[in-house]
Amino acid sequence: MKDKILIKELQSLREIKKPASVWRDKTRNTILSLAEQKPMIGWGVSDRVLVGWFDFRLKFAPVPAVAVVTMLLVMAFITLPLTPGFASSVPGDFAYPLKRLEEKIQLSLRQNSASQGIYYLKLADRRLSELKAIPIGSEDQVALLRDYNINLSFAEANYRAVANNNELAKVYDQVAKKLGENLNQIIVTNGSKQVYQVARELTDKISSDSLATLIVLHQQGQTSNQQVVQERLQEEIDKVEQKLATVQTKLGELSAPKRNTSKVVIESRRAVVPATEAGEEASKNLAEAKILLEQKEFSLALAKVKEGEVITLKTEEAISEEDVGQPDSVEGEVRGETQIIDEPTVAEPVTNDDTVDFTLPVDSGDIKVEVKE
Amino acid sequence: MIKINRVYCNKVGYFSSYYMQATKHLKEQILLLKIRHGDAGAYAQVYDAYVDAIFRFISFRVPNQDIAQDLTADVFLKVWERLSSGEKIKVRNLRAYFYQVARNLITDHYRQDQPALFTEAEADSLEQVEDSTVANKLTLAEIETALKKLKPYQQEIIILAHIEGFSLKEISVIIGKSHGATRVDLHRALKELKQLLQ
Repeated sequence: MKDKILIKELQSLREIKKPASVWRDKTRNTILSLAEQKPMIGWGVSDRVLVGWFDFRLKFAPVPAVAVVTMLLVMAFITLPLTPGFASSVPGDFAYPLKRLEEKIQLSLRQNSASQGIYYLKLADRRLSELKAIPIGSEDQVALLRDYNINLSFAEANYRAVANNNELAKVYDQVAKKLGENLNQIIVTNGSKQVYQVARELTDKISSDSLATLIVLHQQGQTSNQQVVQERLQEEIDKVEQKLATVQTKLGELSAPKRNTSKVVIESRRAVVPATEAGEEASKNLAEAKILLEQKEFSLALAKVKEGEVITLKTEEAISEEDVGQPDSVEGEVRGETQIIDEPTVAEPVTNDDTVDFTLPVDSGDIKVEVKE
Repeated sequence: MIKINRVYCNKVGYFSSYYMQATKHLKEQILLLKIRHGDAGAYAQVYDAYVDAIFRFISFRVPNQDIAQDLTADVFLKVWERLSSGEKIKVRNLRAYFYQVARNLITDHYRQDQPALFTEAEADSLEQVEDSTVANKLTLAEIETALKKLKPYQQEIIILAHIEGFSLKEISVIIGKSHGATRVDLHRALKELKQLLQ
């Protein structure tokens, strides 16, 4: 006989040995009547706590361990961002991968394009803060700039997915302005120059797109953004004027032959002109923009500002190309407030006081932004 | 795919059995606390849960039903007296504790009286069979006779393991031996039973 068969037969013996039900009930009554004669002992606090604890465990016993672990992880992800050092962690820190994972989870929780777009802007701002915190010339600089660009690209795509929305445009405009200012404070090496250039272009694009939306919505009479639009356009004009002044100073420092050899393509006129003439053209555009602004022709004013900006940038580029061959240009290029250097140096710790607070909307109809100065 | 499913089912089986055991243990601990405070209602629940099993365990070891009934009643009275006495008696497994007490009472019974022949008992126990076929009766009778020819300790260990469904760990607690020794003893007892049946 095999062991299995024998064990099975033994198990069936269980069924043949049963007490008579009459005896069982009679014994039960006898034992219980004896038991009831005994006085009950009072319950102490410790016993009550123990029974409560057993009851609690009993209620949660069927909950699978997986659910408990998931709940603990969710709680960890809720509390992690509140822990000091987590938000300020940079590449290479222990908490940094967790921070990125938390960002992905947060992003996946956002359902509509508006809130996703604003979260991408927030992520772009975080990457800039990290860029400020890491040493200049660090390998992570290019990676962070690329991440910044990716976040901005997604932010732009989400912005396009939402139809002209005044509140969203305001948020994008203010955040893009702040990002542009923060981007100017970044010191990059020549290796990161290209990526940095893309970052600037994307930031400017988001800024001008959102400003254009504000103007369009104002002109369509859907919103009363007049003061906001006027102020923003004035700021844009001031910004381009400042840039142009720097370019013209540089232009003045160049020798006469070099000044004449630098050529700039002006697409609106379909002409190639010397750098000096291009500078004058940009200046003329800005003057016209100011007049149009006074006349409350905001769209035309914006178009003139943008044209002036493009010509200024092209002039700056043309001068830089001329400048490369000069022996006194070894230190690199200074553009606006941004310094591009050849050799990496250790950066001073930057305290980012002008951080942007993002108030994310629940849906696209309720978008608010606060900017702390 | 079949292999993965089998692994998955094994794990699910393991977890479900773990939860069932954990739930059962917690329920027992709550009942135990209540009994310690003299809660007769809690003891009634315990009685209903274990009376059949304790009776069965005893009836395999004693010659007739009357003795089994008396001893079973004694077990329940004794456990109640001990637990509700207010003494700090350490009980980790209430079910195993009942078997420990039953085992001691059986030993005491044999110390007082000489064991009678089992042939009458076999006939008595077989009277309790209600829904078995004649062929099955004969097989079970043969097994029971062979079981009763084993040494008392070997009988106990087989009953606890294969009839009552205790784990080796629980059996080692009841009989007061190590886990390894219990495993070896069970193997030997089963081997001997097989030889008797052949």
